[in-house]
Amino acid sequence: MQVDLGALGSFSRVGDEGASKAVRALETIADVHAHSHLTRTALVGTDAISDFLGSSQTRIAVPFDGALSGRAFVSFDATFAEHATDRLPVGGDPLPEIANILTSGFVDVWAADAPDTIDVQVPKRVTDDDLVTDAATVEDCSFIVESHVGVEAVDGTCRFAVVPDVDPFLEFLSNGGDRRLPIEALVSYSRLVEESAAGVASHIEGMTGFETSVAESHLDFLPVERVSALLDDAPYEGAVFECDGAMNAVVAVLFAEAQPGAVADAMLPSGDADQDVAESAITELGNVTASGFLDGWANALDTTLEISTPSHVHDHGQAVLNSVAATYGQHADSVAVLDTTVRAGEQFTCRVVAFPNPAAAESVAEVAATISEGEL
Amino acid sequence: MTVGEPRVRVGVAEWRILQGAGTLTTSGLGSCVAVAVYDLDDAVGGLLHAMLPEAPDDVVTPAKYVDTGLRELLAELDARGVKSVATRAKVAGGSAMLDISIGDAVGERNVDAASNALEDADIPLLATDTGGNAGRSVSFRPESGDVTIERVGEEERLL
Repeated sequence: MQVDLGALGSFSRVGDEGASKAVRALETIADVHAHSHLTRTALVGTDAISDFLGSSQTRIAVPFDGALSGRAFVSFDATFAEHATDRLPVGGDPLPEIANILTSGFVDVWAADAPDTIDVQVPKRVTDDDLVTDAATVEDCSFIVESHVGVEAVDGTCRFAVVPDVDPFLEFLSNGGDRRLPIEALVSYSRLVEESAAGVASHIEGMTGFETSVAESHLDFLPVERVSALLDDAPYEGAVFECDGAMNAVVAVLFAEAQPGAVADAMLPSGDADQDVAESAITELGNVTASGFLDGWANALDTTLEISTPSHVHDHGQAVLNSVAATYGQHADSVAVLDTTVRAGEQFTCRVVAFPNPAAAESVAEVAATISEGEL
Repeated sequence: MTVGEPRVRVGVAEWRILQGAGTLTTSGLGSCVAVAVYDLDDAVGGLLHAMLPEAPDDVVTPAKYVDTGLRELLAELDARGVKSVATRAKVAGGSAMLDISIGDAVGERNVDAASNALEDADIPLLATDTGGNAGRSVSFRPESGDVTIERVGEEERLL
């Protein structure tokens, strides 16, 4: 089976239109202001899917079939679920009804260009054990098209995800594009993203002494204008690097601290560093983290990767990502992003967001093919 | 913000319109620009969050670009009966946050594009908070025309 990377990006873009259409439908029916702020297509290991969809006590599955088959999962966090019951007048049991409205809006845009219709079935509540079926997995991974939906006056978020059956999904994507590669190669690439996350966790633990854990790590394809939504609307401190060589990319290492100064304190136990020293320490941890992330890639590609002098940042994380995305947005409508989240105890969270340069249009495909060949 | 007023979020490559009391907000402005246009007579306004200066001929998402996004926003205001002669504008964003080699001053080009598009539409640009190397978040009250800028570690600034 082959997958075209350009088509994956286009699928995300159409999904983004679907998400917009879905929230407009919700606005009309419930008379509220709503928004979607992240739409992406991710390749996720099946054992990590429930984490990817976020902790939720309430998940609604909406099966669909026809030109595209699979299931949508709408996951409501506890706050959203509680508020929606009181504040979203959509009739009946609100959560299945919201799931139905969102799914219908979402799949309509894909159905518009398909030779066949897509039929949405009755929503039903499910548990995490029900998230994937054999049809939705390839090499123990699943494609997930996800969007985050927020509603004014309703706290919390609902996460809308489509898990398509793999064969019809790849058939749906097949458009004769020139960035095709075997699905196994893309899975190898995705697995290396996961291994890189382990490298990040290990390096941070070594530098700070905090116990670390990988919260998420996956390969995302998304419209450039949705990249910033990978982060919440909060300040981050860290460093941004350029990586050159067999992998041409920008790597942002951004720390979200539980308390201001948590990262610098971990690096400088004496605790009385001035601002310049603290910035240097954070930049150094960013440097070490980037090395931990990139070492696996250098090994897999059997080469060295050159990293630029880090650019220190302490700013809105979304603004940092937007600045990279805008630059790449001049060359491509959609980008691939390597998205990793590592937690260091309760002290801080590290986000590593790497952007392979889309101007080197075949870079992800070439790297994936090289990695895949190395495994043979 | 008054309790009960709408607070409407504007994402990247989007614009939204609000009439009467309430706030339009957008966050994560790095090299992107936010263009606020409003008519105090009708207490109505719109906020655009654009990412790039000029749209290609085959534009798919007009609001991603300053020129087509502003054109689309103004057309919608016009369709709602807003008098263009009374429309005013404020612009924020367009910073150069990262000291890396890629990119060619997208922020500066976005600000120029906004200024030019507003001039072409004969809309006075009353205030700006642009450039520099810091990110911004913007809150805009169409009813008053007030634009509030937030930066990490700094006091809010009112335009």
